[in-house]
Amino acid sequence: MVRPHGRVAHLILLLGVALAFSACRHVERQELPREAANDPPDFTVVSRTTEIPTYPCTERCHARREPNPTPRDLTAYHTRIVLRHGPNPHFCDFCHVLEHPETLHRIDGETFGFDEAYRLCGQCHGEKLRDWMSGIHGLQTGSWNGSVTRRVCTACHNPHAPGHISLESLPPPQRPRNEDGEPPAEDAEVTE
Amino acid sequence: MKTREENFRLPIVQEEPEEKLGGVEVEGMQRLQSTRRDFMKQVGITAGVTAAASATGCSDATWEEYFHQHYKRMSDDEKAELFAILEQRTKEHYGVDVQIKDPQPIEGVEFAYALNISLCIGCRQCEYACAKENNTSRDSEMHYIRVLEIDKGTMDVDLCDHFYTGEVPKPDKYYMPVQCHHCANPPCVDACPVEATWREKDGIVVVDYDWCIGCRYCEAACPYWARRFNWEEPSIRPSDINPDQGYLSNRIRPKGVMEKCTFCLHRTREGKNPACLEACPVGARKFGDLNDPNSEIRRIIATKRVYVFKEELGTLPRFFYFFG
Ligand code: HEC
Ligand code: HEC
Ligand code: HEC
Repeated sequence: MVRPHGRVAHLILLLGVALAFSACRHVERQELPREAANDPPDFTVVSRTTEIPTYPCTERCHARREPNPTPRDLTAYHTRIVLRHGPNPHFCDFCHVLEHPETLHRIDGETFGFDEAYRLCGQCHGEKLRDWMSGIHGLQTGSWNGSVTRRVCTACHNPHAPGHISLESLPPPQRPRNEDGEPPAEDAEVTE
Repeated sequence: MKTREENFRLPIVQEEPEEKLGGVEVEGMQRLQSTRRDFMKQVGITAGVTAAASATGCSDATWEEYFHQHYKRMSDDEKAELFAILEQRTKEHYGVDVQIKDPQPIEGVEFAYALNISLCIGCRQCEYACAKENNTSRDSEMHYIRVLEIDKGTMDVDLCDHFYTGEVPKPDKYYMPVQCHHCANPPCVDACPVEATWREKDGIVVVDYDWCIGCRYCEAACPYWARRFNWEEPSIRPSDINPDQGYLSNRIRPKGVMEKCTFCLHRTREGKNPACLEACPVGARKFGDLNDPNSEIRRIIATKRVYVFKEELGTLPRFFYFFG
C-alpha cells in the first residue's frame, strides 16, 4: 500500500462518517407540526371579546380620546395595567394598533383581533405557539377525533404581566378511617 | 376493617327521610346486587327457585336481574332487557330518568392518555369533574383520580401527599394526578378470580359490576392505586345524577363491588373527550388514539420527554406523563 492511497482511504472514511452522521441527524429529527402561524385556523376558539367589558376600545372610548404612545406609568387611565412581561417590556403600541387598539399587530405588519392573539405571542414564544397549534399546549376541548375548541393564550395568561398561574385547590379527599372510625396518623401511606 | 359479612349484608329496604341522609340512599341498586348474591347462596341450600325467591323478600326483583349472565355472554336482547330494568330501578329510587348505553369499541382505535406534569398545578378540578361524570358516591368521596403532591427534584412517590390544601401550586412542589393507567398488561385483570374485569379491544380496562364478587384482589394487584371498593351504599343527590350512563362505565354501582376510571368510555367511544380532560383549567390532559399517527398523543410521544410511571413493572400503561 502506498501512502497517498492511505490518505484517500482516510478521507473517504471521514467523509463516510460525516455522511453517516448527517444521515443519522436526519433520521433523528422528528417530524414537527407545520409552522402554522399564518395558516387559516382549522379549529374554533372561545372568543375573548365578550370577556372584555371595554371592548371595542375605539367605539367605547378611543374615538374621542387619542392614545398616548409615550412609555410611562399609567396614572389617569388603565391604572390596573402594569407592564411586567420579560425584562424590557414594550409599550402598548408594540402590540395594539394605536389608531384602533382592539386590533393587534405583529412587527411584520399583520393585523388581527384579540381572538387571534396567539399570532402575536408566537412572535416571541414560537415553541409554545407550535405546541398550541398542535393541541399540546393549552386547553383543547370538544372531540378527540373531530372538531376542537381552543382557548387563546390570553384566556390563561395576562398579556401585560404573565405571572405564574395559581388556583385554590378543591378540598382533599377524606383520610381513610381505621377500625374505630378515627382518621389515621398524618404519615399514613397513600394506599387507602 | 369491616368484616366480609357486613359488606354483603342484605339491605333493609325502608323509606328514609331525605334530610336525614343529606342525600338519597340507593337501596334498589344495592338490592339488585346483594339479593343476587344472597339468592345464589340460598339456591345452593334450598335448591328450590321459588322458595328462594320468596326467601329474599324481594318480590319486585325479576328473574332477569337474578340470573343475568356475564356481560360478554349476554345477547343483545338480554342486554336491552337488563338495561331497561336498571333504568327503571334508578327511576324508582331516585326519580331520575337515566339512559344506560353500551357503546362498543371503535374499530382500529387504541386509546391513550398523556398528562403534562409541567403544566399541572394540582387544583383537583379533574378529580371532582370525574366524580360528577361517573356518579361516584359523594359521602364516601370515592375519587378515581388522586393528585399527588411531590417535592421538586424527587420522584419518590412514597413521600408524597395527596391531602394537601390551599392555594396551588406550592413553589417547591409538583403535582402528579394518578388514575387507572389502562395497562396493556394489566395485573388487576390477571388477579381477578372470576373474570369480572378485562381489557377491551380499544385498550380500556372495564369491570362487570354485576359479576364482581368484591374480593379486592385487583385493588391489591394494581401498582397505581387505581381501583376503589364500594364500602357503602352510593349516595348521590338525584339532581347530581348524570343520566348519560354506560353499562360498563358510569352507571350507579352497587355496594360491595370494585370500580375505577374507564376513560369515560360512554363519552370517548362516541368521540367526546373524558370529563377530566375537559375540566382541566390549564390543559394538562391530552387524550386520543394511539394508532393515529396525527393524534396529539402520538405527537407528544414523538416530540416530548415522556415518563412511564413504574415502567419497570412491565405493565405497559396507556397513560403517559410528559414534560413540556
Ligand atoms: C405584549 C403585547 C401587549 C402589550 C405591550 C400591551 N397589550 Fe394590551 N392587550 C394585549 C392583548 C393580547 C390583549 C387581549 C387580552 C385578552 O384577550 O384578554 C390586550 C388587551 C388590553 C385591554 C383590554 C383588556 C383588559 O385587560 O382590560 C386593555 C385595556 C389593554 N390591553 C391596554 C393596554 C395598555 C394601556 C397597554 C400599554 C401600557 C397595553 N395594553 C400593552 C397585548 C398587549
Ligand atoms: C416581544 C416579545 C414577546 C411577545 C410578543 C410576547 N412575549 Fe411573553 N415573554 C417575553 C419575554 C422576553 C419573556 C420573559 C422570558 C423569561 O423570563 O425567560 C416572556 C415571558 C412570558 C411568560 C412567562 C412568564 C413568567 O413569569 O415566567 C408567559 C406566560 C408569556 N410570556 C406569555 C405571553 C403571551 C400570552 C403573549 C401574547 C399575548 C406573549 N407572551 C407575547 C417576550 C414576549
Ligand atoms: C389553558 C391555559 C393555557 C393556554 C390557553 C396557554 N397557556 Fe401557556 N401556560 C399555561 C400554564 C398552566 C403554564 C405553566 C404554569 C405557569 O408557568 O404558570 C404555561 C406556561 C407558558 C409559558 C412558559 C412559562 C415558563 O415559565 O416557562 C409560556 C411562554 C406560555 N405558556 C405561553 C403561551 C402561549 C404563547 C400561548 C398561546 C399560543 C399559551 N401559553 C396558551 C396555560 C396556558
